[in-house]
Amino acid sequence: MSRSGNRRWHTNFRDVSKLPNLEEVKQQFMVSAIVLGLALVLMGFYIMGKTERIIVDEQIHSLEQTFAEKEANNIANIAADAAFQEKSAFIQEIDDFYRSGVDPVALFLAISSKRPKDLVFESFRLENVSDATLNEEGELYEVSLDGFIRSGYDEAFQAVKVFGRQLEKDPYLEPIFRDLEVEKLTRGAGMSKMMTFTIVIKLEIS
Amino acid sequence: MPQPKSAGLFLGICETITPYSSLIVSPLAKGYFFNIGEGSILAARTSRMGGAMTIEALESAQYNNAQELKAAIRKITGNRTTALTRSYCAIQLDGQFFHHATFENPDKSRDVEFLQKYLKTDLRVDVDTNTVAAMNAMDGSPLGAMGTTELLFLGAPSEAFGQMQDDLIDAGLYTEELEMSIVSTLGGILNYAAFAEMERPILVLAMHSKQTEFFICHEGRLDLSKQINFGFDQIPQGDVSQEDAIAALEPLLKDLQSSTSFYELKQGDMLRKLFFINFPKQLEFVEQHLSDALGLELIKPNYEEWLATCEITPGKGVDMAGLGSRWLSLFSLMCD
Repeated sequence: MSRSGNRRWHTNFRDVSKLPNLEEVKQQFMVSAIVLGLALVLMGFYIMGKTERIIVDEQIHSLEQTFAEKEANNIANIAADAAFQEKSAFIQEIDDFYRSGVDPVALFLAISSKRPKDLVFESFRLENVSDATLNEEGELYEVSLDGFIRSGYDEAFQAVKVFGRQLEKDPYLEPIFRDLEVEKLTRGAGMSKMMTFTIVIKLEIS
Repeated sequence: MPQPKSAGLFLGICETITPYSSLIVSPLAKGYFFNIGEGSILAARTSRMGGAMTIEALESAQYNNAQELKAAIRKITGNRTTALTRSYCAIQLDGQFFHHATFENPDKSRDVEFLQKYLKTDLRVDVDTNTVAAMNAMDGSPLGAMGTTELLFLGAPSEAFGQMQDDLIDAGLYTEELEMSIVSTLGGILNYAAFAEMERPILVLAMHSKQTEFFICHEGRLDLSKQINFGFDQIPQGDVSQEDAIAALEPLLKDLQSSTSFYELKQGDMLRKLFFINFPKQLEFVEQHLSDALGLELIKPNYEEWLATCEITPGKGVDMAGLGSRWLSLFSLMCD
């Protein structure tokens, strides 16, 4: 490529010491090239890192969105579940109430028909209290009655006892009646002549 | 005055191209060749820097001072930056010299002390302020171990070389070679003569502003060289008739006739051809007149065929048919 330095009739008079040093220029160029190369590689890594970061950020963002959506659904589901549980318990209770061995309507009519005039019922609760472990023949039920009576303590107690005996004699209740307990008989606050009571009637259905 | 670093006598090779320079040349780099001197620039852009190449463009320009020279070079290379364009340059310098010396003993050509003394006393060349190269006039080779009886001393003031090199760097050129145009051209003429199978001696004249170089080339060697104190500054120009201009050539013609006759008698051989290197284009009529007056056939080089032997071909739009003899100085740089 380059011509030989000792061609005939061609003498080279150039003064190399006065020429720019091409080796230096070349090395400077190489150093620049190396620096540039390193810079490019680093920039490559930086861009790769950035890109990866952006991708990861996007994934995180997308997952967060999904999570938020699912969470909202979940809360709604939990709420629905709670509502369902509540309704379910209520329905179960009603179901139990009507499916029990006691005819609740007949029972309630029997109790009402024997009610002394001065007893006022506030609530009526029928509960199956059978203990499965005892393996008894029949099923035990308790009827709790809350209410109040306008009288003094003794009169009230007497009235409740009378009410118990009346129930024992009722044709519907007689075969299943076991016991009557006055669970609570207290004077109502601020009402000197008003007694509140809780009567528990125990029934056994074979 | 500080001594120029490059001053001194060099036996043939002032500087060889160091190997690394070939390593860092891009294979795609264009080649730029310049022949600069006497207010004239001839330039070529080639497809490559060496070997087989295509000439993509030929340019010529004139200049009157260093500023114009630099501007003209930059216009040719199109280099407007501080980057350097690699180039091969042949130059003419003020104070350049060319001496032919004959020694009986070839050992003398290897005695540097003797040569320095000879330069100083016989040729009046101060090796402390001049850069001088010596070569074998028999074949243009550097002086080697064999020695020779025919020597050429060529050179110029070191300061002039340095100034030119600085100017070229300023013009954006990195010189791979900085040659003396006259020697490079002689090499080209000998090469061309061999190509054209010219067996007879050839008279070569190179006219400068103040003097004319006189050479007789024969079979690859330089037989005779001398300087004639007549330059184209002595030819009236402008509003003068061609007869007046030709009349002014009379002293040169007389010198040439006596010199050629002397050579022909001594050698017993007839000169048949003339090669005239005339840098200013407007003086081309001179060569025809000298050719007629001396009865020598003017060589009109067929550049295209000659350059083809060096694997150099003109590219598209490069017409070499009309190029005068002065272009040989440029093509000599390109063709080994």
